[in-house]
Amino acid sequence: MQSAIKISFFFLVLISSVNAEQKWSWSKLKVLESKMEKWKGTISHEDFVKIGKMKQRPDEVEIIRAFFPYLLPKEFVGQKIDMECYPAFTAFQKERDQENYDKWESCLNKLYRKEKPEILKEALEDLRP
Amino acid sequence: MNKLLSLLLCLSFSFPALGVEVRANHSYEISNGSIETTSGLILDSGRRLRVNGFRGGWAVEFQLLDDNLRPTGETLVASKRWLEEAVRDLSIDDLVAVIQRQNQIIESSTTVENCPPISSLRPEPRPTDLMERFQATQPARQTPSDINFKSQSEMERYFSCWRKTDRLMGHYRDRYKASIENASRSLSVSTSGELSEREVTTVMSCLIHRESAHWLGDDSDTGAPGLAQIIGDARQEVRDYLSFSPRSDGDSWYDRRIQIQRDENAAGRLSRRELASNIASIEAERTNYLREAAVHNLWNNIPLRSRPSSGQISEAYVRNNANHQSVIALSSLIVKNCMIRLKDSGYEMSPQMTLFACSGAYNMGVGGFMNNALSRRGPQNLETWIRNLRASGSSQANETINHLISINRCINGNQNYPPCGTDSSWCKESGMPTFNACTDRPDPMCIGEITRCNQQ
Repeated sequence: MQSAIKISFFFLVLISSVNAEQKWSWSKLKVLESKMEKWKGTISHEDFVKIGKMKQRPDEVEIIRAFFPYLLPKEFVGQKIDMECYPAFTAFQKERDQENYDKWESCLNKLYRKEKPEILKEALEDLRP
Repeated sequence: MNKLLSLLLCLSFSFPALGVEVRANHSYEISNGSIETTSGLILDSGRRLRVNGFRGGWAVEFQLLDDNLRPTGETLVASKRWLEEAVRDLSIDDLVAVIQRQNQIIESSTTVENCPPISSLRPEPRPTDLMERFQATQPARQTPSDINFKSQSEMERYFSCWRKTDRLMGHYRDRYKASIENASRSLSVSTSGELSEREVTTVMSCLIHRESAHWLGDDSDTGAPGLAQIIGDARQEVRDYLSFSPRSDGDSWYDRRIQIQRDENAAGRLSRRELASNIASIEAERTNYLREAAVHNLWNNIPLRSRPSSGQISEAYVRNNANHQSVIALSSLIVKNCMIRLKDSGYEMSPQMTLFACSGAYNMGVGGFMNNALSRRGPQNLETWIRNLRASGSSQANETINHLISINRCINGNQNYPPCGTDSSWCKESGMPTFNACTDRPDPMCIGEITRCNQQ
């Protein structure tokens, strides 16, 4: 019985430690920005434009679309739509206050209505001031 | 300790999802879904390939294998992550099967006096044939002329045919029809001749017909209010257009700000990355500004008996169907905004298809429709949008598919298929041919239509 309790407790600790882990934070985004910039340097402009036309895109592209869309080539399909909330996001990144968070969230709500991409839903949750 | 434990747990959860880690000079078979290449080919389950190498850490370069497991055709490129999730190692059984087949061919060939040339055993790869085979899976091109818009009289008969009640049909004739025409006229003019008044009126009529549940204009199950079902986020969107105030110096303000950024960079106070990010952000602000200015301009150009202010656009206001003229005008602003966004974003779409897409994006938002429905490559059409929505996993996919099919059935002339979920029919009285979705089997069928038909 005791060992069963111990095992349950062990798994509870495991799960809570995972849940407590936030996926997105400002420090992580700063590191990611450098990584994504380096990643961009590893592919040709032509390939990047081709990726824009694919459904099966590398994870790096989804991160760039969500947080660093300025790295997307102008010819990347949907680039302007991906850039739409970037000004609101950068303002929030600079101030990190509720007012700018609300503006960023409002922009995403207008763009995606009820269903935002998972990556942005997580970021809205984790970066909330 | 916690970090170690979470790492262990993460690893234990991650491993099953990792798939195969592909290596250069190894052969694989697609066994889970399909692979999309940068050149636009879709390779389905069962195809075999040999990995030649990698490109920049994100992509895999490979060639397809023929029946004898020899690389054939041009080098293809696909996203590494997606490829790894889709393939499995070619098993020893696969290799044995190939060797056995070759042995059989050799054995049978030895009984023939005149041996066939080696090339008959090892046919030359035919990449052109392969290309045709894959391209055949691509959707047929739907040109703008594929939309044969209903005329005003056809549309009225269509609405009458599938009406809910005489009273509601009367509301359309006496009130809403003129309001839709009013907003559509201005929206058409705003496209500088790209879309005719008839095209816009047809799509806007079908959109409001669908949104209002056949001119009922009540609250939906999800709480969306009124004729145009303008929910909270959409209300905020239109409030922003109404309260928009143009800058006295136009968009030259953005040029000045960009120059300041360049100067800061030149003075060493801004890094190259910050400069790129800041300029892109200012350019995006400019794009947003110009788009909002165009939508605001449309609002000012729609003649209205009473023009509400931004602050008046409340839930109660859009719920009140007595405000039909301005509420329908507001819905045309949402469509206009969507059309500008899609036009700016590099999709291959005629103005007519863009308008149709925006009637579909009305519920989902432009971003959601872009991610879940639109194809990133090639021409857009209803079939591909439905296929993409089905594959998207979006919780709104079915709703949006039926929304699109309903509007498509409504706008197309010479058709009288019912909007999805419609049972009642007054078609004989309306002078329209009677169509039955179950017997006529329109293509595409609505979600739930096949099940309902099978139950009948």
